[in-house]
Amino acid sequence: MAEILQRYDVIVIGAGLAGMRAALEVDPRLSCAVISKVYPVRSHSVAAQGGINAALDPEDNWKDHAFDTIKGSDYLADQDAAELMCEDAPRVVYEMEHWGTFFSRRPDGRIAQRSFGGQGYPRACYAADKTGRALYQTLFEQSVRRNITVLKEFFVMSLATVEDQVAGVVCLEIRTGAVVGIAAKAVIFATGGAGMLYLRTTNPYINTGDGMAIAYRAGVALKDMEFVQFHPTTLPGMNVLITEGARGEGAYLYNRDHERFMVNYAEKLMEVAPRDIVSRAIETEINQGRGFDGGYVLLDLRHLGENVIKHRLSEIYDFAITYKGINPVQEPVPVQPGQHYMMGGIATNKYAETTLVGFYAAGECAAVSVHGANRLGANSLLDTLVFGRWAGIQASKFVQSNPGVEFPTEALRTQSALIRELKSRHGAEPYGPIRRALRETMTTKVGTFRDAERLRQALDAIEELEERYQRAGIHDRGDIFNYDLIGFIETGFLIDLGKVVTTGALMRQESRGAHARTDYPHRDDQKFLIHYLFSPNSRGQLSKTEEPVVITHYEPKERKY
Amino acid sequence: MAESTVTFRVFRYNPVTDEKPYWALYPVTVEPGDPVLMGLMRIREEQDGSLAFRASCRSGICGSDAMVIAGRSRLACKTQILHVLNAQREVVVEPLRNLSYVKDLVVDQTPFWEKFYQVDPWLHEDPLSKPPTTERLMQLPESEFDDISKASDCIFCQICYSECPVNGMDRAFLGPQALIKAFRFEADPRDHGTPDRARTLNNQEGVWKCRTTFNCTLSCPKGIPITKGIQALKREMLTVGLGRGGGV
Repeated sequence: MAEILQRYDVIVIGAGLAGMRAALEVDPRLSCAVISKVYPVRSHSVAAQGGINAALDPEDNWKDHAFDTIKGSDYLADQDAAELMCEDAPRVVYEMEHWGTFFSRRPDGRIAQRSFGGQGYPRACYAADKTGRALYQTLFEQSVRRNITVLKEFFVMSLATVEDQVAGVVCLEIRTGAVVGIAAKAVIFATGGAGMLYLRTTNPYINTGDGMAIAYRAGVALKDMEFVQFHPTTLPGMNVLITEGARGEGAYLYNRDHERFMVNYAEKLMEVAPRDIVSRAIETEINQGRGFDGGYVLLDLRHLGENVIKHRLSEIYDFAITYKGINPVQEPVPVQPGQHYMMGGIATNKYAETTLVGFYAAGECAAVSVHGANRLGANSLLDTLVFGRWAGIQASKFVQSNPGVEFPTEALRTQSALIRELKSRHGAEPYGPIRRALRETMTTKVGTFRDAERLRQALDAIEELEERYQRAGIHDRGDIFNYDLIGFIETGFLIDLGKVVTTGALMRQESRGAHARTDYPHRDDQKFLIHYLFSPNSRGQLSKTEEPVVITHYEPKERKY
Repeated sequence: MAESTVTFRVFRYNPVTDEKPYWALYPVTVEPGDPVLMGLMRIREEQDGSLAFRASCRSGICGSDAMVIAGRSRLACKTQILHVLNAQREVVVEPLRNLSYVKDLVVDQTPFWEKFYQVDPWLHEDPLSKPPTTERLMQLPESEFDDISKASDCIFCQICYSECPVNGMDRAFLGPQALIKAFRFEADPRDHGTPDRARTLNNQEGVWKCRTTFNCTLSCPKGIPITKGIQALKREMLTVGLGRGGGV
């Protein structure tokens, strides 16, 4: 097993939208590489369907967008950050259009916009129901044009630090099995979410929270981790996403009594209420016996007509036929909530900076926090492009005035020793059953509705799994394309994150946004209008600190739709 | 739902330990609707951790898990196990064609990407235009809009590359994916890249090598009419670039 050391000024971990946008913003005079555990176009950004919010219309206003975002967050978003993002949104959309994004258009040639959950104005710009792919391909194409270096299929295992400053990362070159140290003056994490914590998720296999867990282990705090978004409409089975854009275009939700039940939960916005509210409504219908056998309700698109379905919702038309054998032009589609997005992540300020010197984070792996307790649909693509850019700007500035620190070679040795030890274990349990048990625990006990008893059971279960994991092992002792080894290490990341999410959920004795406690059904601004930050203490246990929520113009009010 | 057991017959090869490839057989319990990818994941997580294949989104949008299943290149996440069983109730799984295998179902994608880079795959702006500070309008007839939108659906899965008989015989041919990407920009009214791209397209190994067998169109998991796009490029090269870049 070879050990290698490479050097760059700036490295970006993750080649999705946030990572690519960051890399494109890094000063071209600096050496820069993007590192990804998969090929660039495989990143989960390509799966985003519905849209990207921007107040483009002369009748619309970015301040209204900011207000909707803050209200949607159940007032946990830092308002200065939400304002920065929403004000920047039109520039982002024009820039992407200029670089080539093929947006859907109105008859007069302007970029088309549709309604989205919790938005007071139809401001989600879209490319049919494949907006993430359209935006991502544009950035990928720009990265090809500018010859951005991408280290493909490099799996990052740890951050290398010297005191309070970042020195680079240690990764596994998947093709060869070499342990590679990559020294850098600035490191940007854009590693995405952690949906593999849950059994029912819209996320891909690769979303295992690597960046969050690695930062946490290096002592960088994770913020707002108890807030996990469940998307209301996923196909039962594989939990393939059915875009909110379907409801934005006017689709209805029905229970088994053929009632448009959203009237009982959000009288005004109905099906386009924010995701936390619609997900809870669906779960309530199912729990109270008004769902269908197999735990789902129906999404009816038929009245939208064949033309709208096949043109503006072409992907989900294909998904319903492929995965359920259902043609949505003729039949309603079964849907159930599934994990979709982590509002929490690596704590950053509104310029993507963390407490570790030279270390930045953007996109889903970061918590700025613009999404607070509940992210509005079509705000995450925006988040990646706004804060990815800031990460690139700040990292460049930092490198121009800071020589960096020497890469600690023991960081490299630690990881190689770990892998060697792992490969020498015999007769150990594989990670598969442990990962599945973790995902089951999180789904049944740390899901849409939570209570102290089940959260405590979940914590106990996770601790047991952690013990089993310590003794578990791998089957593949080879070097090249050892996905067994990667799956094993990822499972360790997931266990750490599961503990943080569950502990935060247990401590937050209130209901806010996506965090719904049946034993504390109300929001409590007196005690909990704060962010929780978790980092490991010297004994490796969770230690919690608190941060106030930044309030600029919008006093917290009751949230009604 | 009715569970049943099927056998996965999987192409295995480890360049370090195996002299040549071999078939491995794995029993897998399946339910109707289960995709091939789910079966492979169960094998890796529960039976044999050393089985190498790429996978990510599980829903046919990231393009990671293309492989030859029951004789044809397909996405493992979009192919139902019960639809591809042979008479022995086996699912036969092999690596993609026209790219060399590295380990098990993992292929070396390098030639594919290099050809994609050759077509200058980005929107070439009018060199005189400035970045917009307001909205740029674009009006297109619905059919032209749909052609570009459809061509943009490419997920880089390499299935067309694996199924193309010309790629099989001539490793220098650009291949269907690079060509449909070129079409996506050539058809876009905002693009000004034709002179640059014609050097690669209007060439012996470019559009003129395509023999319109329609394998790409038939196999594309996103339903992109690739051959139609390539034919449009041929017509374009005749009118705007005849004689440029070598010709035939």
